[in-house]
Amino acid sequence: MHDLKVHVERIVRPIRASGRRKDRMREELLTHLTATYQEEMVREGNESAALARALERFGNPDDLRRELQASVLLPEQILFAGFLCHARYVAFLRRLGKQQDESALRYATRVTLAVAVVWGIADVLIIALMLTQHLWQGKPLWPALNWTLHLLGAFHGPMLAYYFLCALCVDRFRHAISARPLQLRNALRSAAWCALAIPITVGTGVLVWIFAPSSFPPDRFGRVPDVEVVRIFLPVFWAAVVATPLLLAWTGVSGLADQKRYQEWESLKLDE
Amino acid sequence: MAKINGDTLRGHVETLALAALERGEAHGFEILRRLRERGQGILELKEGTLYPALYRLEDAGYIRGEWEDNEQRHRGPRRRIYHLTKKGRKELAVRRGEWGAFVRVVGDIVGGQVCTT
Repeated sequence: MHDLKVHVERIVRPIRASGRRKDRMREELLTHLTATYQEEMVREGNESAALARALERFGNPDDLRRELQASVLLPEQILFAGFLCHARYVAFLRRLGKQQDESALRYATRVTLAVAVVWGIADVLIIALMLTQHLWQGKPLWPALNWTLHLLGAFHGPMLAYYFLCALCVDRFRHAISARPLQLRNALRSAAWCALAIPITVGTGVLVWIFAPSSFPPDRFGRVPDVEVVRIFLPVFWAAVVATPLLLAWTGVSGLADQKRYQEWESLKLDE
Repeated sequence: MAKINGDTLRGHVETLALAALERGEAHGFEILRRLRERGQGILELKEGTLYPALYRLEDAGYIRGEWEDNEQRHRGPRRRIYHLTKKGRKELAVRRGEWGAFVRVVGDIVGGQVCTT
C-alpha cells in the first residue's frame, strides 16, 4: 500500500491544481491502483511481481501527470501555479483549518488571531509607505499617523469580531449539518447567528463611511491626508464582509475529514 | 489480431467512458472492466489515462461523480461512482453520430472503395 501511495503522490504532487482537486486525484488513483494490485496478487501470487504489473497497467507516470495536468481548467492552473501548490504552503493551510477534537471556541480564536497578525503586518507596511510619502513631501507625520491608526482600528475592530463570530457559527453549522440524524434546529440557529453578524458589520461600515471624513482626524491634529484612505479601504471592507463567511464555510466544510485523510499524503517522502 | 493501444485510442477515451456509463453507474475500475469486456481482448488502454478523461467529462457536466458512502467500505480509500447526466446522454448521441460518419467515410477510403468522379 505504501509503495502504491508513493507512486500516486509522485504523479499528483507536482500538478498545478487546487488542493481539493489533487486530494480527489490521490484518493481515486490509489483506489484504482489498489484494486489492480489485488487483482494481480491473485494472478501472480507474488507481491513484487504484482506491484510491477499493477504499475505497468496503470501507465507511464510522466504521461499520466501531463494528462492530469491538462484536465485541470486553465484559470485553476494559473491560480495554483508556483508557491500556492507548494507542499509546505498547502500543509500550512491545512494546519490553519480546524483540527481534530479542537473546540469551536479555540478554533475561532485561533483563526481570528491569525487574521489579526496578517492584517497587522499589512497595516505596518501601509503605514510605513504613507509615512515615507509624508516625509518625502515634508508634511507633518503625527496627524496622518493618528488619522490612519483611527481608521484602520475602526475597520479592523468590527471585522475581527465579525470574523470570530463567523468562524464560531460556521463551525457549529457544519457540525449540525454533518450530524446523523441532521440537527436542523441547531443548523438554523447557527446560520441565523452568522447572518446576524452581517448587519452588525455592515452597520459599522456605514457609520465609518458617514463619520470618517468629518470626525477623522480631530481638528486639532490638522487636515485630512491627501489620499482618501476611506475610498481605498471601503471596497476591501465590503469584499471581506461578503468573502469571510463564504471562505470559512468553504474551508470548514471541506475541513475535518479531509484534513486527517490527506495530511499523510503531504508528509510522504518521495525520494526513498 | 494486433492490440489497439493508447495512441490509437487517444481522443476516443471520453466517448468510450460515456458509452460504458450508459450501461449504468460505475467507478473507474468498473468502467475499465466494461471496456475490456466489450473490447474482446484487443483494447489495450493504460488504466490511469481513464481518469483525466473522466475529470474532463465531469467538468463539462456530461457525467457526475459522487464518493461512495464511507460506511460501505470500512477501510481504505473511497471509490468515486460516476453516472451519466442528461447532457451526457445527448453528448453521447452526438458523438455516436460523428463516429458513425467517421467510420463510414474512413472505412470507405481505407477499405479501397473510394468513389472517383
